[in-house]
Amino acid sequence: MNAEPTPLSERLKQLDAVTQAQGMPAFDLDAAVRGGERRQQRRSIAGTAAATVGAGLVAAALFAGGAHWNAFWDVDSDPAPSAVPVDLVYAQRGDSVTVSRGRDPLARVTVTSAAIDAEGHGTVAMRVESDAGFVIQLSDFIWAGESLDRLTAATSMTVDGSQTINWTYDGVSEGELAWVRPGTDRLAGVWSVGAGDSGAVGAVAADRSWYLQVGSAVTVYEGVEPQARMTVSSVAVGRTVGAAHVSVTAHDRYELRADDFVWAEESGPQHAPLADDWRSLSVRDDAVNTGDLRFAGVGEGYLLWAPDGRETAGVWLSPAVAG
Amino acid sequence: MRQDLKDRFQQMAQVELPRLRRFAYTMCEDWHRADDYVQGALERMYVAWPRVHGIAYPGAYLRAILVRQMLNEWRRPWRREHSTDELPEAGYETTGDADLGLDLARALSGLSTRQRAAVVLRYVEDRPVAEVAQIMGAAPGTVKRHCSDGVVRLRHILGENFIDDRLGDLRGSSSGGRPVSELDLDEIGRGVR
Repeated sequence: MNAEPTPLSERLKQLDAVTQAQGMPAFDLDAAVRGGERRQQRRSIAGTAAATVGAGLVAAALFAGGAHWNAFWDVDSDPAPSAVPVDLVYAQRGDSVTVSRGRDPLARVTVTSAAIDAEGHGTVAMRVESDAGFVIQLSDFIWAGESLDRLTAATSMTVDGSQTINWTYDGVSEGELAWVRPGTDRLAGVWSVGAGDSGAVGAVAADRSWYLQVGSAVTVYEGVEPQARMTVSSVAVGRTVGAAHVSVTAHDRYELRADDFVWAEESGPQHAPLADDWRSLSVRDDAVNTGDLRFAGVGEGYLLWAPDGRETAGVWLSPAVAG
Repeated sequence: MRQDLKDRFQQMAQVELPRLRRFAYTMCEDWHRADDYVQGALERMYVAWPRVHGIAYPGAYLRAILVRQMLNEWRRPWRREHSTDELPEAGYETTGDADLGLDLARALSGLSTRQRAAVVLRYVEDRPVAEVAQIMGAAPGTVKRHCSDGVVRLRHILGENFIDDRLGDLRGSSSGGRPVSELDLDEIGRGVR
């Protein structure tokens, strides 16, 4: 005789009870709290490093010594008009990008591995093949991870033949390695990178969301397609009030939330924007929306954008405190 | 963070932790990975806590962080989910008993990640469709589809001897449960769909 059918919710709850009855391994909640504190602290550390460089910086800020650089952008640091010919065409297929001028292929660039060691150093290996003396600029490659985007030293190399180039970044996490077209904020290529020490590299899934800051703008990508672009066009700080002007545009739709912004002082304290301004800016169909953010009781520091519970997707330095 | 906020965070986490961990385990069938995701979600919430400590349903917030983190990370080429027609062996359907070693995670292992999330949130945690949609960062219709497809797959594992007691909700008659407007889940997830 068949038993009465059980409601599915009841059946699944019975199975959930089995999981409960099996017991769970110990969980260290204090470790999670410490991890949260470290995430907060990393913002402060980043701010200190950024602020020591001072405002008015045009390119990137030195971080932790050595030849490795971070992408702390000043609002005046948009990519300079390119001296590089603009008629180059970049086409990515799998792990390789073919660079052509018109119908003439100039070079093939392949990221063959990108590994992270236990100390968080990222090492990239890239093979460049060219018979035309192709010039490649390593600082056009940005490692976009969970925290700050990372740049490497501005090393220019000319490849004639086939050459493997290795370089490193400090403090990276699993993320995307973006090759930004020289003098623009457009992508020449992008790779998923940082699968631990395996060095595995792969194509970016079409539905994966990630962020890339170039100059004063942060672009939100899904796969290789830009979805939205958020720009901070000014950051100012008076004796007690900080202000920033932001604009956002999106191909489809996007909502920029004011409380995703944080003003982090060089000395450590962090501030949310004043709640009596706007709460969110909605935008769609390539329209542009703008807003001003104000922060009370702030000192010299930097503006952070931290959507999706991330540590940072964008960082902008404040100028020195007036007076 | 102020000590009182920190204390409140720890109290909230203590309350939410058992179910959140089981939810994460159900999603990935591995306690180590599940706890990594739970820790990551708690860390992110800790960072946001000064501005979100007043939200009514922190458990929903935590699940939203966790689900979106999982989905986005599993889009990595080396972690990419491969759909399979291989389901766990059937044969549990005639008992209804819980003593055959089939737990929830194993029962759901033939479902995709999204189907698993939707089914657990709807059928085990009794959350309304609209709330599940907010947690998953998806449209309500998409959640209904994931549930419906997940139930079809579950019939391969659990057999036919159950009734889909959420079917009415899936057809859109009622969301049931608490008002979704109270969730304040718009604090999270922009750009992660």
